[in-house]
Amino acid sequence: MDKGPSSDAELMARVGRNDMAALGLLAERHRDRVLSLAYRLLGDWHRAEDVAQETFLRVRQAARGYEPQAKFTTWLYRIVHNLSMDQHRRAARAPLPLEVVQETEMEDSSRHDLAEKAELAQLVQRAIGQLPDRQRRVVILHRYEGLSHGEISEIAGWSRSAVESLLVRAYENLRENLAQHEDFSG
Amino acid sequence: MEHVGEIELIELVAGRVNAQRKAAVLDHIRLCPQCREKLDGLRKTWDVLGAWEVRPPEHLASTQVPPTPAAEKKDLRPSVIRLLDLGMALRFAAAIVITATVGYAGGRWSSRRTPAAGGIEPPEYISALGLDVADGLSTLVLQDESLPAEEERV
Repeated sequence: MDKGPSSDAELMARVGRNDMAALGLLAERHRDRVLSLAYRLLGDWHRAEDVAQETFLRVRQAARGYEPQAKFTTWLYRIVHNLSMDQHRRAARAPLPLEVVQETEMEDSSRHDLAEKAELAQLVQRAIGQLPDRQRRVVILHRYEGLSHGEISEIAGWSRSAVESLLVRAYENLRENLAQHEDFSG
Repeated sequence: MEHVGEIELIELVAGRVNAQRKAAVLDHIRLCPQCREKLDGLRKTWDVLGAWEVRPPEHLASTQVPPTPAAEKKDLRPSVIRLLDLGMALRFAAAIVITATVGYAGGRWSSRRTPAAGGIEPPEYISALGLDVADGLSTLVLQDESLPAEEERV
């Protein structure tokens, strides 16, 4: 993850002094995860891109007054989460697109394996998309972003106990939904 | 025997339980079929969820660099002000100058061709009364003089 000796907090301090190179480093460092999180929350790469750009613009605007009280990524993901939810509210909730399998994966796998993998990925994406909104968000932050309960609580603005309760229900619902798939039950 | 909480099983599957606690939970699970079943179910769910891999498309990779201060400043300006970029401002000024010149020249040309009284000859009584017509706009109308329309009606 680290591409230079500077920590995120140091880079933020430099951004606060109008150092655009530091902002570029921060964006380069976190761009992919910001995009991926926004995509998982929104199900659309173009909207995810809008969120990512807006996120780094907010980072720049907030840099002058930024005080590293929590992990930088927690703060960053809170911006992504909130912007994604704004987008989500604005747009009618559309079924999540199934564009999971990337071209590059096709070269490495046999067609059969690829088809199975794609099918499974679609199944997972659909199962997550069918969860109630808060359960969906909590699973994305926990399973795919690797965040702790405390971090999720901070990002989403829910109590820690609410996060834990949502996680238990979400994984239970997913287990039930996915149990129908033969790869899963086998 | 106290069962392991579900949230702790989730964290165990996620690999986020410290070594000491992990050993204690696994000890319990060896002896408890209920907790073992739950853990197996969670582990399967966790693994299957891993199939949803996401990688940003390549065409998005170069578009995430935040705007430079100059570019951002430009973007934040109101659209009206943005229209007044140098090129646009010069074109706008040239249009004003041309319009004013053509208008002025046209006015001059027009005034030279138009008779002073706007094409209306002063009535004979003006000279009979010894009055002077300063410009074509003033025409004296006497109270008892009937208008042309009234004459026609009569």
